[in-house]
Amino acid sequence: MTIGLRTSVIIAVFLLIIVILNLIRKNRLNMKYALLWIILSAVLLLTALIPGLLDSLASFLGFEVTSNMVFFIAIFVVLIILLSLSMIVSEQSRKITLLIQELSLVKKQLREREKPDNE
Amino acid sequence: MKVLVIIPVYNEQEAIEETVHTLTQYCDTINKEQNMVIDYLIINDGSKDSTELILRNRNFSHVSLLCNLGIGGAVQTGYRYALERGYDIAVQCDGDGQHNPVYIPTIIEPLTDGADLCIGSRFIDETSSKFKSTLARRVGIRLISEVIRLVTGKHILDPTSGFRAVNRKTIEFFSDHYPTEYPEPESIVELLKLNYTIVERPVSMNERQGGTSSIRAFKTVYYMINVCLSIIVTGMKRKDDLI
Repeated sequence: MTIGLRTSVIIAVFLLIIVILNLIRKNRLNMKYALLWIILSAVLLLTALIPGLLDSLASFLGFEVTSNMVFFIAIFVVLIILLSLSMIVSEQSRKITLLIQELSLVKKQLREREKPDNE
Repeated sequence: MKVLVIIPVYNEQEAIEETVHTLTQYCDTINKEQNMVIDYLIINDGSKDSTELILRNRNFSHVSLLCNLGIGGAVQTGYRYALERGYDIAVQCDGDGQHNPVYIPTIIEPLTDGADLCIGSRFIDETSSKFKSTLARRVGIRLISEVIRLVTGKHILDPTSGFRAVNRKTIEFFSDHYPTEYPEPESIVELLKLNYTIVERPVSMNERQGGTSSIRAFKTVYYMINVCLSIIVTGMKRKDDLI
């Protein structure tokens, strides 16, 4: 890694961390999910701060070109994050279904109370 | 004995009045004859036509879901209602006039003999129903039936029938667990895995009077693959996952 690349990666990661912290501050990101992104940025920062870390890891794992390993790991991590998001969405849709059902039933009950002669 | 007829509807403005009319007329005669109280509850699953208007104007007993939940979520609302209000038996019945209320006693009867779910089936014998759906659908239903047999070892002839009766035990189960995507076949597999007793009784079904089937994409291979997959996945669930 050249000095120029390292500085740009470090600056980019710092920007990312600032954005994440800002989102938490404004209550637009739950701490639960933010932790993942903070850890991810820390790892990115580490690779930029320690030169040769990526290269030695790549040759240790048997990748001929370092960038191949970076792409492989990056895509894999993104896939896992997407899967966990699908799980969160499924769980939330289950809860929303429950809410709609219960609320609709309560509304019927209210209607019955207002007009006891009906139904 | 308190019986609740659950009628999920979605854009059924043409058929709903007729359906409720036939049902209430029939229920009145039964309620007098036997020691049974049959109520009905329509679940309006966010219809976009004038279904809601008709339900209100005619003062039909109904729950209006705030958003469209799909057939599974709508029917489950009915089961929750049945549980809350202490019904002994719940009957699921389509709002398009396909299911004839005269068969309600037919599918309730096995429940008193210990069955947990009774399916009104079109395929038990040749005479049971003149209207048996199109050939493509029959092939599809047959395939679903075979997959269920593969997964559970039990033979269910009409797994997609939406005309079913359940006892209190199953009402309790369905209130908590009711599949959303392909509720009929999936719920059958879940019940069979938990050793519930499922029986079928021959009923005659009419052609729908209006609206479209909830299985709109039935012809497409996509639907079949999805149903079969969900049956197999449900079959792989362990008992603790189901409870």
